[in-house]
Amino acid sequence: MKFGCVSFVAALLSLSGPALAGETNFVAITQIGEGASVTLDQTEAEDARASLTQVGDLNTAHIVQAGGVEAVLLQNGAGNNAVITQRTTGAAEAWLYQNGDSNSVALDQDGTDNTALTMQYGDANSIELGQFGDANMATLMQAGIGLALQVTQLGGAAITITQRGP
Amino acid sequence: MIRKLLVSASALALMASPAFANPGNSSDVYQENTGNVADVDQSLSIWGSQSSVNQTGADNSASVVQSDDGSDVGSSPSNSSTVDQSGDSNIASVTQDNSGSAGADDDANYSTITQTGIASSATVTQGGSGSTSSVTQAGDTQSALVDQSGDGLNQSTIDQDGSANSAILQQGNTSGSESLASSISQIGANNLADVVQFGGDADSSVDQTGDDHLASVFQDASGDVTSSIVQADLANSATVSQIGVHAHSIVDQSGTSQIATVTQISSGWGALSSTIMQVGDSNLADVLQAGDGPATSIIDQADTLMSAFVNQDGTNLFSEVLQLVGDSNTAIVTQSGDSKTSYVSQDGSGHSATVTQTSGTAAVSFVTQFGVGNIANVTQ
Repeated sequence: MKFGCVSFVAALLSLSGPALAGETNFVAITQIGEGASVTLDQTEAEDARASLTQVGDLNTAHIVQAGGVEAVLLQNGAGNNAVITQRTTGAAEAWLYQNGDSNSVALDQDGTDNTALTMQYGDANSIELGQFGDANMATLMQAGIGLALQVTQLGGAAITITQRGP
Repeated sequence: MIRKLLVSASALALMASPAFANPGNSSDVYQENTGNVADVDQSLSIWGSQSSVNQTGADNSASVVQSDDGSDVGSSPSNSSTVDQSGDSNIASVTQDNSGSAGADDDANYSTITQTGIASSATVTQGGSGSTSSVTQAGDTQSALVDQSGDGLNQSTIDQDGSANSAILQQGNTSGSESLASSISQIGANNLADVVQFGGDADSSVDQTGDDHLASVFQDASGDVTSSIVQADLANSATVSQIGVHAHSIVDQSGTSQIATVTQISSGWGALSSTIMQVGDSNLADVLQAGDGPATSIIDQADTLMSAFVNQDGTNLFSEVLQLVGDSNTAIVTQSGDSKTSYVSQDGSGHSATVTQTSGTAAVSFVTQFGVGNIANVTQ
């Protein structure tokens, strides 16, 4: 399973590459250490893309985006916490990978064409997803002990959920 | 014992030095022992003047005044003065003024002052156009004051070796036609370098080695301005203020407890660039760049307890903050305008990075943090 995680990470990183041109705002943050914290506000751009990588004991990420947005978040540590709000007018994509003892994701997507992909590996995982738009798509995967999932979808909705215990 | 020598211009009018091309006034004074006074007055010459004063001993005083009468006869008038003093508590004063009637590029003042000992002072005042000054001082508690207010090319070199020395330079005027160049080198502790330049183009270089140095550079020009400050050892401070079409600044500090402050303002769409390199503990770098055109800031800090502040306003903005090999580092970057890029890379513990990119299109931010307790805040 570890190799599968690595290939997933590589795929997500490649997705975040060509996002520098035009009116797009782009953020890439890499934090390696203990107690890493990110607060990201991308609400003034027409398009906003963010790539966050956190490797540490306690990782937290708070992301707010507006416009056509994309967020790629990789967290690897004992405790991972991500709160992402995407207030979108076009496409919205969130790619989340968490690996650790305790993982939590709270993701709100408000707009059209929302896509969420989350993968969690750990002992205490929770996902809270809200998609409010015309065409929603969610792929959620949890593996480990203590899996909690809460999904709200309004509009066109497609969802794939995979939960795998020990 | 006090000996005094007065030399009039007319008495020595024909004693021209072989090295002096024009058939102007010429004076050579040599004094030994202490308490000598030499007053050389070569005012209102037609062809320019040459003066050489050599004093050995303590408590000597040399005063040289050279000017032309403003008439444009024959070759351009040129003033040349050399003062050489060895011993403590010497005073040298040189005043040169060519009328500039023959044109900014032709007229010239040349002054060279060399002082060896402690507690000596050198004062150089040059007007007209095309002035060159060189002050060399070896010993403690020396002071050099150079004022070049004429048009054309003004050049000043001040070299001081010792502690508690001060070098103060003022160049240019508000006509905007001047080309200014200043070089100050200080070796020792507790030295001060103060440079003020007004002109068309201005270039300043300050090199300080030793503890507790202060360097201040102010440049206001209608063209391009450049500044370079190099400081080594403990507790040094560098302040650079630049106004021009294009402005470039380099501050290189290696030591402990160093501060670098750079302010650059472009009067148009010109390019601004600032590079600050700090190696040592407890360093602070603060950069402010404002204009309509591109601005580039690079801050490279190593070791512990460092802070970097960058504020940029313009178009095509670039900031890079490198805080490597250290801990407790802070970086705050604010960029306002179209097309802006920020890189922050921090290595160590307890870091914090705050990046704010507003007003305009295309913002790119990279933050990389290695260590313990890192915090990144990005607003776009």
